[in-house]
Amino acid sequence: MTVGLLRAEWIKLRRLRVTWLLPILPMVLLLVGGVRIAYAVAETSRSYGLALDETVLQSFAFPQLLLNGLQFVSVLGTLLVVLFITSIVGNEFGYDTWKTVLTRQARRGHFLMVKLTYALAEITLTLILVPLVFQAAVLITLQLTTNTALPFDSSTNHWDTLSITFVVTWIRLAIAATIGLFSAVLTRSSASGLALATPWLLGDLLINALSFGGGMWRDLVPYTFNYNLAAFETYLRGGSGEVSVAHCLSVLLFYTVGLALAAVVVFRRRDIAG
Amino acid sequence: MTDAAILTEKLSKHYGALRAVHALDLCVPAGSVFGFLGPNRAGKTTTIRLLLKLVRPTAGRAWVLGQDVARGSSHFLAQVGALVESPAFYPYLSGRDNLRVFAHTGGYPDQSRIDEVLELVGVADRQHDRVRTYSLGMKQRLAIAAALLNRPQLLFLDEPTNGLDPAGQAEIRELVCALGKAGHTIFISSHVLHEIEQICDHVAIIDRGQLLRQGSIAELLGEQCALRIEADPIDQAAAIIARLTQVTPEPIAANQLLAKVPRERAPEIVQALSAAGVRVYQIIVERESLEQVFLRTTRIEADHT
Repeated sequence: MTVGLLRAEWIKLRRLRVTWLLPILPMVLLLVGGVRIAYAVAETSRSYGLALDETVLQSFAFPQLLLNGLQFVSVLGTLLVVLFITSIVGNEFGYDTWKTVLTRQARRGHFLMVKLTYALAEITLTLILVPLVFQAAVLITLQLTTNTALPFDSSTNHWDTLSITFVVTWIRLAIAATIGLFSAVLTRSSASGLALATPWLLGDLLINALSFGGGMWRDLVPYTFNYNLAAFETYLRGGSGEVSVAHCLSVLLFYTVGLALAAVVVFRRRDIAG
Repeated sequence: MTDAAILTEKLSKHYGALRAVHALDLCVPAGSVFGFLGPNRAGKTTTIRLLLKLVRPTAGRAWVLGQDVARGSSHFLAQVGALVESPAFYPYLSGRDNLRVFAHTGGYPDQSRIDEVLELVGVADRQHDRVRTYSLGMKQRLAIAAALLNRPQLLFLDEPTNGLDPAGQAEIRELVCALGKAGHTIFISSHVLHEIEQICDHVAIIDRGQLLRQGSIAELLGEQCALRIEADPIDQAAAIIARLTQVTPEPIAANQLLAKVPRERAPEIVQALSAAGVRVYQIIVERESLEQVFLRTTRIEADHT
Protein backbone atom coordinates (compact mmCIF):
# COMPACT_ATOMS: atom_id res chain seq x y z
CA MET A 1 0.00 0.00 0.00
CA THR A 2 2.85 2.38 0.80
CA VAL A 3 4.35 1.75 -2.65
CA GLY A 4 0.97 2.77 -4.06
CA LEU A 5 1.03 5.92 -1.94
CA LEU A 6 4.55 6.74 -3.15
CA ARG A 7 3.43 6.36 -6.77
CA ALA A 8 0.29 8.41 -6.18
CA GLU A 9 2.35 11.17 -4.54
CA TRP A 10 4.82 11.18 -7.40
CA ILE A 11 2.04 11.68 -9.97
CA LYS A 12 1.05 14.79 -8.01
CA LEU A 13 4.56 16.08 -7.27
CA ARG A 14 6.02 15.90 -10.74
CA ARG A 15 3.39 18.35 -11.99
CA LEU A 16 3.94 20.87 -9.18
CA ARG A 17 6.33 23.77 -9.75
CA VAL A 18 7.28 23.89 -6.10
CA THR A 19 8.76 20.37 -6.41
CA TRP A 20 11.43 21.60 -8.80
CA LEU A 21 12.13 24.86 -7.00
CA LEU A 22 14.40 23.34 -4.32
CA PRO A 23 16.98 21.80 -6.66
CA ILE A 24 16.69 24.28 -9.51
CA LEU A 25 16.68 27.72 -7.83
CA PRO A 26 19.94 27.25 -5.82
CA MET A 27 21.53 25.56 -8.83
CA VAL A 28 20.70 28.41 -11.17
CA LEU A 29 21.84 31.06 -8.66
CA LEU A 30 25.09 29.22 -7.95
CA LEU A 31 25.75 28.57 -11.62
CA VAL A 32 25.21 32.18 -12.60
CA GLY A 33 27.20 33.49 -9.62
CA GLY A 34 30.00 30.90 -9.88
CA VAL A 35 30.51 31.25 -13.60
CA ARG A 36 30.52 35.05 -13.35
CA ILE A 37 33.10 35.00 -10.54
CA ALA A 38 35.32 32.49 -12.36
CA TYR A 39 35.04 34.52 -15.54
CA ALA A 40 35.84 37.77 -13.70
CA VAL A 41 38.91 36.22 -12.03
CA ALA A 42 40.12 34.88 -15.37
CA GLU A 43 39.53 38.25 -17.04
CA THR A 44 41.44 40.11 -14.31
CA SER A 45 44.41 37.75 -14.49
CA ARG A 46 44.44 37.96 -18.28
CA SER A 47 44.23 41.74 -18.40
CA TYR A 48 47.22 42.06 -16.02
CA GLY A 49 49.06 39.22 -17.78
CA LEU A 50 49.52 37.35 -14.50
CA ALA A 51 49.06 33.69 -13.65
CA LEU A 52 46.32 32.89 -11.17
CA ASP A 53 47.34 33.38 -7.58
CA GLU A 54 47.74 30.18 -5.51
CA THR A 55 45.18 31.39 -2.92
CA VAL A 56 42.66 32.04 -5.67
CA LEU A 57 43.33 28.63 -7.16
CA GLN A 58 42.82 26.94 -3.77
CA SER A 59 39.53 28.74 -3.26
CA PHE A 60 38.24 27.27 -6.52
CA ALA A 61 39.72 23.81 -5.97
CA PHE A 62 38.16 20.69 -4.50
CA PRO A 63 36.47 20.64 -2.02
CA GLN A 64 36.06 24.37 -1.33
CA LEU A 65 33.36 24.99 -3.91
CA LEU A 66 31.43 21.93 -2.80
CA LEU A 67 31.50 23.31 0.76
CA ASN A 68 30.41 26.74 -0.47
CA GLY A 69 27.65 25.10 -2.45
CA LEU A 70 26.44 23.16 0.60
CA GLN A 71 26.47 26.30 2.73
CA PHE A 72 24.49 28.21 0.12
CA VAL A 73 21.91 25.42 -0.13
CA SER A 74 21.76 25.30 3.67
CA VAL A 75 20.58 28.93 3.82
CA LEU A 76 18.29 29.16 0.78
CA GLY A 77 17.23 25.52 0.99
CA THR A 78 15.77 25.93 4.49
CA LEU A 79 13.12 28.30 3.18
CA LEU A 80 12.54 26.29 0.01
CA VAL A 81 12.07 23.05 1.95
CA VAL A 82 9.49 24.72 4.18
CA LEU A 83 7.74 26.11 1.12
CA PHE A 84 7.74 22.66 -0.50
CA ILE A 85 6.34 20.68 2.41
CA THR A 86 3.78 23.26 3.53
CA SER A 87 2.57 23.42 -0.09
CA ILE A 88 2.15 19.68 -0.61
CA VAL A 89 0.43 19.17 2.75
CA GLY A 90 -1.59 22.40 2.65
CA ASN A 91 -2.75 21.71 -0.93
CA GLU A 92 -4.61 18.63 0.27
CA PHE A 93 -6.54 20.82 2.72
CA GLY A 94 -6.93 23.63 0.19
CA TYR A 95 -8.25 21.39 -2.60
CA ASP A 96 -10.26 19.38 -0.03
CA THR A 97 -8.73 16.21 -1.44
CA TRP A 98 -8.09 14.59 1.94
CA LYS A 99 -11.72 13.44 1.92
CA THR A 100 -11.14 11.69 -1.41
CA VAL A 101 -7.85 9.98 -0.59
CA LEU A 102 -8.54 9.13 3.06
CA THR A 103 -11.66 7.19 2.10
CA ARG A 104 -9.41 4.85 0.11
CA GLN A 105 -6.70 4.24 2.67
CA ALA A 106 -7.33 5.34 6.19
CA ARG A 107 -3.82 5.12 7.62
CA ARG A 108 -3.37 8.83 7.85
CA GLY A 109 0.18 8.65 9.17
CA HIS A 110 1.28 6.95 5.95
CA PHE A 111 0.21 9.94 3.88
CA LEU A 112 2.35 12.31 5.94
CA MET A 113 5.30 9.93 6.00
CA VAL A 114 5.20 9.61 2.22
CA LYS A 115 5.24 13.39 1.85
CA LEU A 116 8.11 13.68 4.32
CA THR A 117 9.99 10.91 2.47
CA TYR A 118 9.78 12.90 -0.76
CA ALA A 119 10.97 16.04 1.03
CA LEU A 120 13.97 14.16 2.46
CA ALA A 121 14.73 12.55 -0.90
CA GLU A 122 14.62 15.96 -2.53
CA ILE A 123 16.91 17.39 0.14
CA THR A 124 19.42 14.57 -0.43
CA LEU A 125 19.31 14.97 -4.20
CA THR A 126 19.71 18.74 -3.96
CA LEU A 127 22.65 18.48 -1.55
CA ILE A 128 24.43 16.07 -3.87
CA LEU A 129 23.63 17.61 -7.23
CA VAL A 130 23.77 21.35 -6.64
CA PRO A 131 27.31 21.58 -5.16
CA LEU A 132 28.63 19.12 -7.77
CA VAL A 133 27.18 21.06 -10.67
CA PHE A 134 28.48 24.31 -9.12
CA GLN A 135 31.99 22.91 -8.72
CA ALA A 136 31.99 21.45 -12.23
CA ALA A 137 30.69 24.64 -13.85
CA VAL A 138 33.33 26.83 -12.19
CA LEU A 139 36.13 24.40 -13.07
CA ILE A 140 35.05 24.21 -16.69
CA THR A 141 34.77 28.01 -16.90
CA LEU A 142 38.25 28.47 -15.46
CA GLN A 143 39.68 25.74 -17.66
CA LEU A 144 38.17 27.34 -20.75
CA THR A 145 39.11 30.92 -19.91
CA THR A 146 42.57 30.54 -18.34
CA ASN A 147 43.72 27.12 -19.46
CA THR A 148 44.86 26.54 -15.89
CA ALA A 149 44.68 23.12 -14.30
CA LEU A 150 43.30 23.44 -10.77
CA PRO A 151 44.99 21.55 -7.94
CA PHE A 152 43.10 18.48 -6.79
CA ASP A 153 43.90 17.33 -3.29
CA SER A 154 41.72 14.38 -2.39
CA SER A 155 43.14 13.86 1.11
CA THR A 156 41.00 12.24 3.82
CA ASN A 157 40.72 15.56 5.68
CA HIS A 158 38.80 17.12 2.83
CA TRP A 159 36.42 14.19 2.57
CA ASP A 160 35.82 14.33 6.34
CA THR A 161 35.07 18.06 6.21
CA LEU A 162 32.78 17.52 3.26
CA SER A 163 30.93 14.59 4.86
CA ILE A 164 30.39 16.44 8.13
CA THR A 165 29.12 19.54 6.35
CA PHE A 166 26.84 17.37 4.23
CA VAL A 167 25.40 15.57 7.28
CA VAL A 168 24.86 18.77 9.26
CA THR A 169 23.25 20.54 6.29
CA TRP A 170 21.05 17.53 5.66
CA ILE A 171 19.86 17.51 9.28
CA ARG A 172 19.22 21.27 9.16
CA LEU A 173 17.02 20.89 6.08
CA ALA A 174 15.31 17.80 7.52
CA ILE A 175 14.43 19.84 10.60
CA ALA A 176 13.02 22.57 8.35
CA ALA A 177 10.94 19.86 6.64
CA THR A 178 9.49 18.51 9.89
CA ILE A 179 8.76 22.02 11.18
CA GLY A 180 6.98 22.75 7.87
CA LEU A 181 5.07 19.46 8.05
CA PHE A 182 3.94 20.06 11.62
CA SER A 183 2.96 23.67 10.88
CA ALA A 184 0.90 22.75 7.81
CA VAL A 185 -0.93 19.96 9.65
CA LEU A 186 -1.59 22.21 12.62
CA THR A 187 -2.87 25.15 10.57
CA ARG A 188 -4.50 23.10 7.76
CA SER A 189 -3.23 25.48 5.12
CA SER A 190 -0.15 26.12 2.97
CA ALA A 191 -0.06 29.84 3.64
CA SER A 192 -0.71 29.58 7.38
CA GLY A 193 1.76 26.71 7.64
CA LEU A 194 4.39 28.86 5.97
CA ALA A 195 3.43 31.79 8.21
CA LEU A 196 4.00 29.61 11.29
CA ALA A 197 7.13 27.76 10.15
CA THR A 198 9.10 30.76 8.88
CA PRO A 199 9.04 32.76 12.15
CA TRP A 200 9.80 29.52 13.98
CA LEU A 201 12.98 29.04 11.94
CA LEU A 202 13.93 32.70 12.20
CA GLY A 203 13.12 32.74 15.91
CA ASP A 204 15.51 29.86 16.46
CA LEU A 205 18.26 31.85 14.76
CA LEU A 206 17.33 34.99 16.68
CA ILE A 207 17.52 33.24 20.05
CA ASN A 208 21.02 32.05 19.13
CA ALA A 209 22.05 35.58 18.21
CA LEU A 210 20.51 37.13 21.34
CA SER A 211 22.00 34.47 23.62
CA PHE A 212 25.39 36.17 23.32
CA GLY A 213 23.91 38.98 25.40
CA GLY A 214 23.00 36.54 28.19
CA GLY A 215 19.72 36.65 30.14
CA MET A 216 16.76 34.45 29.32
CA TRP A 217 18.05 33.86 25.79
CA ARG A 218 21.06 32.13 27.26
CA ASP A 219 18.71 29.75 29.11
CA LEU A 220 16.63 29.12 26.02
CA VAL A 221 19.40 28.58 23.54
CA PRO A 222 20.25 24.94 24.53
CA TYR A 223 16.78 23.97 23.26
CA THR A 224 17.18 25.50 19.81
CA PHE A 225 18.10 23.30 16.90
CA ASN A 226 20.74 25.68 15.49
CA TYR A 227 22.66 25.63 18.76
CA ASN A 228 22.52 21.85 19.02
CA LEU A 229 23.41 21.39 15.37
CA ALA A 230 26.50 23.52 15.92
CA ALA A 231 27.37 21.47 18.99
CA PHE A 232 26.79 18.25 17.05
CA GLU A 233 29.07 19.49 14.27
CA THR A 234 31.75 20.31 16.84
CA TYR A 235 31.54 16.78 18.22
CA LEU A 236 31.74 15.31 14.74
CA ARG A 237 34.90 17.36 14.13
CA GLY A 238 36.41 15.96 17.30
CA GLY A 239 35.86 18.97 19.57
CA SER A 240 33.69 19.32 22.63
CA GLY A 241 30.67 21.56 23.03
CA GLU A 242 28.89 23.29 25.89
CA VAL A 243 26.20 20.60 26.02
CA SER A 244 26.59 16.85 26.19
CA VAL A 245 26.28 14.69 23.09
CA ALA A 246 23.21 13.05 24.64
CA HIS A 247 21.56 16.45 25.12
CA CYS A 248 22.23 17.64 21.61
CA LEU A 249 21.13 14.33 20.07
CA SER A 250 17.93 14.40 22.15
CA VAL A 251 17.08 17.91 20.99
CA LEU A 252 17.83 17.05 17.37
CA LEU A 253 15.71 13.89 17.66
CA PHE A 254 12.86 16.00 19.05
CA TYR A 255 13.06 18.39 16.09
CA THR A 256 13.15 15.55 13.54
CA VAL A 257 11.42 12.37 14.72
CA GLY A 258 9.48 14.08 17.54
CA LEU A 259 7.91 16.75 15.36
CA ALA A 260 7.12 14.25 12.59
CA LEU A 261 5.34 12.00 15.11
CA ALA A 262 3.54 15.01 16.61
CA ALA A 263 2.32 15.91 13.11
CA VAL A 264 1.00 12.36 12.64
CA VAL A 265 -0.77 12.41 16.02
CA VAL A 266 -2.42 15.78 15.29
CA PHE A 267 -3.43 14.64 11.80
CA ARG A 268 -4.89 11.35 13.03
CA ARG A 269 -7.08 13.21 15.50
CA ARG A 270 -8.18 15.84 12.97
CA ASP A 271 -11.72 15.82 11.63
CA ILE A 272 -11.75 16.15 7.87
CA ALA A 273 -14.94 18.13 8.05
CA GLY A 274 -14.74 20.30 4.94
CA MET B 1 -26.62 -6.89 11.66
CA THR B 2 -25.60 -9.27 8.88
CA ASP B 3 -28.37 -7.95 6.60
CA ALA B 4 -27.43 -4.33 7.20
CA ALA B 5 -24.77 -2.69 5.09
CA ILE B 6 -24.78 0.24 7.51
CA LEU B 7 -25.95 0.25 11.08
CA THR B 8 -25.57 3.04 13.59
CA GLU B 9 -26.38 3.14 17.27
CA LYS B 10 -26.88 6.53 18.93
CA LEU B 11 -24.26 7.96 16.57
CA SER B 12 -23.56 11.57 17.47
CA LYS B 13 -21.29 14.37 16.40
CA HIS B 14 -21.41 17.60 18.36
CA TYR B 15 -19.36 20.71 17.67
CA GLY B 16 -19.63 22.51 20.98
CA ALA B 17 -23.31 23.34 21.41
CA LEU B 18 -24.12 22.47 17.81
CA ARG B 19 -25.54 18.97 17.39
CA ALA B 20 -24.56 18.20 13.80
CA VAL B 21 -25.72 14.60 14.27
CA HIS B 22 -27.49 13.40 17.40
CA ALA B 23 -28.29 9.86 18.55
CA LEU B 24 -28.72 8.55 15.03
CA ASP B 25 -30.03 4.98 14.76
CA LEU B 26 -29.81 4.14 11.12
CA CYS B 27 -30.22 0.79 9.39
CA VAL B 28 -29.38 0.52 5.69
CA PRO B 29 -30.34 -2.90 4.32
CA ALA B 30 -27.67 -4.61 2.23
CA GLY B 31 -28.45 -4.38 -1.48
CA SER B 32 -30.81 -1.44 -1.08
CA VAL B 33 -30.74 1.92 -2.79
CA PHE B 34 -31.09 4.06 0.30
CA GLY B 35 -32.10 7.69 0.11
CA PHE B 36 -30.89 9.92 2.89
CA LEU B 37 -33.07 13.00 2.92
CA GLY B 38 -32.88 16.21 4.80
CA PRO B 39 -32.94 19.96 4.32
CA ASN B 40 -29.68 21.88 4.07
CA ARG B 41 -27.55 21.62 7.24
CA ALA B 42 -29.60 18.64 8.43
CA GLY B 43 -26.46 16.58 9.11
CA LYS B 44 -26.44 14.40 5.97
CA THR B 45 -22.84 15.08 4.98
CA THR B 46 -21.60 14.85 8.57
CA THR B 47 -23.23 11.42 8.83
CA ILE B 48 -21.48 10.29 5.66
CA ARG B 49 -18.16 11.65 6.95
CA LEU B 50 -18.71 9.78 10.23
CA LEU B 51 -19.37 6.54 8.36
CA LEU B 52 -16.23 7.01 6.28
CA LYS B 53 -13.98 7.71 9.28
CA LEU B 54 -13.28 11.25 8.12
CA VAL B 55 -14.82 12.60 11.32
CA ARG B 56 -14.64 11.11 14.80
CA PRO B 57 -17.96 10.57 16.57
CA THR B 58 -18.68 12.35 19.85
CA ALA B 59 -20.70 9.32 20.96
CA GLY B 60 -22.32 6.18 19.63
CA ARG B 61 -21.18 3.48 17.28
CA ALA B 62 -21.42 2.60 13.63
CA TRP B 63 -20.87 -0.53 11.59
CA VAL B 64 -20.20 -0.43 7.88
CA LEU B 65 -20.24 -3.76 6.02
CA GLY B 66 -20.13 -5.45 9.41
CA GLN B 67 -17.03 -3.62 10.66
CA ASP B 68 -17.03 -1.34 13.66
CA VAL B 69 -16.07 2.03 12.18
CA ALA B 70 -14.67 3.56 15.35
CA ARG B 71 -12.85 0.59 16.83
CA GLY B 72 -12.15 -1.80 14.01
CA SER B 73 -9.69 -1.60 11.18
CA SER B 74 -10.32 0.29 7.97
CA HIS B 75 -10.52 -2.74 5.68
CA PHE B 76 -14.13 -1.92 4.85
CA LEU B 77 -12.92 1.13 2.93
CA ALA B 78 -11.58 -1.22 0.24
CA GLN B 79 -15.21 -2.19 -0.51
CA VAL B 80 -16.55 1.35 -0.31
CA GLY B 81 -16.72 4.08 -2.94
CA ALA B 82 -17.62 7.62 -2.00
CA LEU B 83 -18.47 10.98 -3.41
CA VAL B 84 -18.58 13.31 -0.41
CA GLU B 85 -20.14 16.73 -0.88
CA SER B 86 -18.62 18.71 -3.76
CA PRO B 87 -16.14 16.90 -6.00
CA ALA B 88 -12.50 17.45 -4.95
CA PHE B 89 -9.56 17.00 -7.31
CA TYR B 90 -6.01 18.16 -7.97
CA PRO B 91 -6.83 20.91 -10.48
CA TYR B 92 -3.36 20.91 -12.07
CA LEU B 93 -3.68 17.22 -13.03
CA SER B 94 -5.72 15.75 -15.86
CA GLY B 95 -8.89 13.82 -15.13
CA ARG B 96 -7.08 10.59 -15.88
CA ASP B 97 -4.10 11.44 -13.64
CA ASN B 98 -6.49 12.26 -10.82
CA LEU B 99 -8.01 8.80 -11.17
CA ARG B 100 -4.50 7.29 -11.27
CA VAL B 101 -3.69 9.05 -7.99
CA PHE B 102 -6.83 7.64 -6.35
CA ALA B 103 -6.27 4.18 -7.82
CA HIS B 104 -2.68 3.98 -6.56
CA THR B 105 -3.75 5.35 -3.18
CA GLY B 106 -6.34 2.60 -2.81
CA GLY B 107 -3.99 -0.09 -4.12
CA TYR B 108 -5.93 -0.94 -7.30
CA PRO B 109 -3.89 0.64 -10.11
CA ASP B 110 -5.73 -1.11 -12.94
CA GLN B 111 -5.50 1.09 -16.04
CA SER B 112 -8.27 -0.74 -17.86
CA ARG B 113 -10.64 -0.05 -14.96
CA ILE B 114 -9.78 3.66 -15.28
CA ASP B 115 -10.70 3.50 -18.98
CA GLU B 116 -13.90 1.68 -18.08
CA VAL B 117 -15.15 4.20 -15.49
CA LEU B 118 -14.18 7.18 -17.63
CA GLU B 119 -16.25 5.69 -20.45
CA LEU B 120 -19.10 4.88 -18.08
CA VAL B 121 -19.51 8.47 -16.85
CA GLY B 122 -18.83 10.06 -20.23
CA VAL B 123 -15.57 11.87 -19.50
CA ALA B 124 -13.32 9.73 -21.70
CA ASP B 125 -12.96 12.37 -24.42
CA ARG B 126 -11.71 14.99 -21.91
CA GLN B 127 -9.60 12.66 -19.76
CA HIS B 128 -6.28 14.28 -20.71
CA ASP B 129 -7.44 17.85 -20.00
CA ARG B 130 -6.60 19.44 -16.69
CA VAL B 131 -9.43 19.25 -14.18
CA ARG B 132 -9.32 23.03 -13.68
CA THR B 133 -10.83 23.34 -17.16
CA TYR B 134 -13.79 21.05 -16.34
CA SER B 135 -17.30 22.31 -15.68
CA LEU B 136 -18.97 21.44 -12.36
CA GLY B 137 -21.01 18.78 -14.14
CA MET B 138 -17.87 17.14 -15.54
CA LYS B 139 -16.20 17.22 -12.14
CA GLN B 140 -19.29 15.58 -10.70
CA ARG B 141 -19.08 12.81 -13.31
CA LEU B 142 -15.38 12.37 -12.66
CA ALA B 143 -16.07 12.12 -8.93
CA ILE B 144 -18.58 9.36 -9.58
CA ALA B 145 -15.98 7.62 -11.76
CA ALA B 146 -13.48 7.90 -8.89
CA ALA B 147 -16.01 6.40 -6.50
CA LEU B 148 -16.55 3.44 -8.82
CA LEU B 149 -12.85 2.68 -9.36
CA ASN B 150 -12.65 -0.15 -6.84
CA ARG B 151 -15.93 -1.81 -7.87
CA PRO B 152 -17.43 -0.96 -4.48
CA GLN B 153 -19.89 -3.11 -2.64
CA LEU B 154 -21.23 0.01 -0.93
CA LEU B 155 -21.39 3.36 -2.65
CA PHE B 156 -21.91 6.69 -0.87
CA LEU B 157 -23.19 9.42 -3.15
CA ASP B 158 -23.65 12.81 -1.56
CA GLU B 159 -25.82 15.00 -3.81
CA PRO B 160 -24.57 13.21 -6.96
CA THR B 161 -26.61 15.21 -9.47
CA ASN B 162 -25.50 18.63 -8.25
CA GLY B 163 -24.41 20.78 -11.17
CA LEU B 164 -25.62 18.35 -13.82
CA ASP B 165 -27.97 19.32 -16.61
CA PRO B 166 -31.30 17.42 -16.86
CA ALA B 167 -29.83 14.90 -19.31
CA GLY B 168 -26.85 14.34 -17.00
CA GLN B 169 -29.15 13.92 -14.01
CA ALA B 170 -31.15 11.30 -15.88
CA GLU B 171 -27.94 9.46 -16.83
CA ILE B 172 -26.80 9.39 -13.21
CA ARG B 173 -30.20 8.13 -12.10
CA GLU B 174 -29.97 5.34 -14.67
CA LEU B 175 -26.46 4.52 -13.51
CA VAL B 176 -27.55 4.36 -9.87
CA CYS B 177 -30.51 2.16 -10.77
CA ALA B 178 -28.24 -0.16 -12.77
CA LEU B 179 -25.76 -0.39 -9.89
CA GLY B 180 -28.60 -1.06 -7.49
CA LYS B 181 -29.94 -3.84 -9.69
CA ALA B 182 -26.44 -5.32 -9.86
CA GLY B 183 -26.59 -5.83 -6.09
CA HIS B 184 -24.56 -2.83 -4.87
CA THR B 185 -25.78 -1.05 -1.78
CA ILE B 186 -26.13 2.63 -2.56
CA PHE B 187 -26.43 5.32 0.09
CA ILE B 188 -27.51 8.46 -1.66
CA SER B 189 -28.06 11.76 0.06
CA SER B 190 -30.10 14.41 -1.63
CA HIS B 191 -32.76 16.99 -1.21
CA VAL B 192 -34.06 16.46 -4.75
CA LEU B 193 -37.02 14.42 -3.61
CA HIS B 194 -38.49 13.30 -6.92
CA GLU B 195 -35.07 11.90 -7.78
CA ILE B 196 -34.96 9.86 -4.59
CA GLU B 197 -38.53 8.69 -5.12
CA GLN B 198 -37.57 7.41 -8.56
CA ILE B 199 -34.42 5.51 -7.67
CA CYS B 200 -34.55 4.49 -4.01
CA ASP B 201 -36.30 1.61 -2.32
CA HIS B 202 -35.56 2.77 1.25
CA VAL B 203 -35.31 6.23 2.75
CA ALA B 204 -34.47 8.00 5.96
CA ILE B 205 -35.35 11.59 6.79
CA ILE B 206 -33.04 13.60 8.98
CA ASP B 207 -33.37 17.15 10.25
CA ARG B 208 -31.21 19.14 12.66
CA GLY B 209 -29.04 16.10 13.20
CA GLN B 210 -31.87 13.83 14.25
CA LEU B 211 -33.46 10.93 12.44
CA LEU B 212 -37.17 11.60 11.93
CA ARG B 213 -38.27 8.63 9.85
CA GLN B 214 -36.85 5.63 8.08
CA GLY B 215 -38.30 2.72 6.18
CA SER B 216 -39.09 1.44 2.75
CA ILE B 217 -40.51 3.88 0.24
CA ALA B 218 -43.65 1.74 0.02
CA GLU B 219 -44.18 1.99 3.79
CA LEU B 220 -43.60 5.72 3.94
CA LEU B 221 -45.77 6.54 0.97
CA GLY B 222 -48.49 4.10 1.95
CA GLU B 223 -49.07 5.36 5.45
CA GLN B 224 -51.11 8.41 4.44
CA CYS B 225 -53.19 6.70 1.80
CA ALA B 226 -56.67 7.93 0.80
CA LEU B 227 -59.39 6.64 -1.50
CA ARG B 228 -61.07 9.01 -3.93
CA ILE B 229 -64.48 7.60 -4.70
CA GLU B 230 -66.96 8.73 -7.35
CA ALA B 231 -70.39 7.32 -6.59
CA ASP B 232 -74.11 8.09 -6.79
CA PRO B 233 -75.90 8.86 -4.57
CA ILE B 234 -72.92 10.38 -2.79
CA ASP B 235 -74.62 11.03 0.57
CA GLN B 236 -75.59 7.41 0.91
CA ALA B 237 -72.04 6.37 -0.06
CA ALA B 238 -70.55 8.69 2.61
CA ALA B 239 -72.83 7.25 5.28
CA ILE B 240 -71.94 3.65 4.37
CA ILE B 241 -68.19 4.40 4.36
CA ALA B 242 -68.39 6.22 7.69
CA ARG B 243 -70.27 3.33 9.27
CA LEU B 244 -67.85 0.76 7.83
CA THR B 245 -64.51 2.47 8.52
CA GLN B 246 -65.29 4.85 11.40
CA VAL B 247 -63.75 7.58 9.22
CA THR B 248 -65.86 10.44 7.96
CA PRO B 249 -65.16 11.00 4.25
CA GLU B 250 -64.73 14.54 2.93
CA PRO B 251 -66.76 15.63 -0.09
CA ILE B 252 -64.33 17.03 -2.68
CA ALA B 253 -66.54 17.50 -5.75
CA ALA B 254 -69.96 16.63 -7.09
CA ASN B 255 -70.40 12.88 -6.56
CA GLN B 256 -66.82 12.60 -5.26
CA LEU B 257 -65.47 12.10 -1.76
CA LEU B 258 -62.15 11.40 -0.17
CA ALA B 259 -61.82 8.76 2.55
CA LYS B 260 -58.53 8.55 4.46
CA VAL B 261 -58.42 4.80 4.81
CA PRO B 262 -55.79 2.23 3.85
CA ARG B 263 -55.69 0.90 0.31
CA GLU B 264 -56.47 -2.61 1.61
CA ARG B 265 -60.01 -1.57 2.55
CA ALA B 266 -60.99 -0.59 -0.99
CA PRO B 267 -62.56 -3.98 -2.01
CA GLU B 268 -64.60 -4.09 1.20
CA ILE B 269 -65.92 -0.56 0.60
CA VAL B 270 -66.80 -1.26 -3.03
CA GLN B 271 -68.61 -4.42 -1.99
CA ALA B 272 -70.59 -2.59 0.73
CA LEU B 273 -71.56 0.23 -1.65
CA SER B 274 -72.67 -2.19 -4.38
CA ALA B 275 -74.67 -4.24 -1.91
CA ALA B 276 -76.49 -1.05 -0.84
CA GLY B 277 -77.30 -0.21 -4.46
CA VAL B 278 -74.88 2.73 -4.69
CA ARG B 279 -73.42 3.07 -8.17
CA VAL B 280 -69.59 3.28 -8.04
CA TYR B 281 -68.07 4.98 -11.09
CA GLN B 282 -64.45 5.02 -10.04
CA ILE B 283 -62.24 4.48 -7.04
CA ILE B 284 -58.68 5.85 -7.01
CA VAL B 285 -56.01 5.14 -4.43
CA GLU B 286 -54.31 8.44 -3.65
CA ARG B 287 -50.89 8.50 -1.99
CA GLU B 288 -48.69 11.28 -0.77
CA SER B 289 -45.64 11.96 -2.83
CA LEU B 290 -42.27 11.67 -1.12
CA GLU B 291 -42.13 15.45 -1.14
CA GLN B 292 -45.39 15.62 0.82
CA VAL B 293 -44.14 12.99 3.30
CA PHE B 294 -40.88 14.90 3.68
CA LEU B 295 -42.53 18.27 4.19
CA ARG B 296 -45.10 16.85 6.60
CA THR B 297 -42.38 15.08 8.62
CA THR B 298 -40.01 18.01 8.83
CA ARG B 299 -42.87 20.45 9.61
CA ILE B 300 -44.16 18.25 12.42
CA GLU B 301 -40.64 18.16 13.85
CA ALA B 302 -40.30 21.93 13.49
CA ASP B 303 -43.65 22.43 15.25
CA HIS B 304 -42.53 20.16 18.09
CA THR B 305 -39.33 22.10 18.62
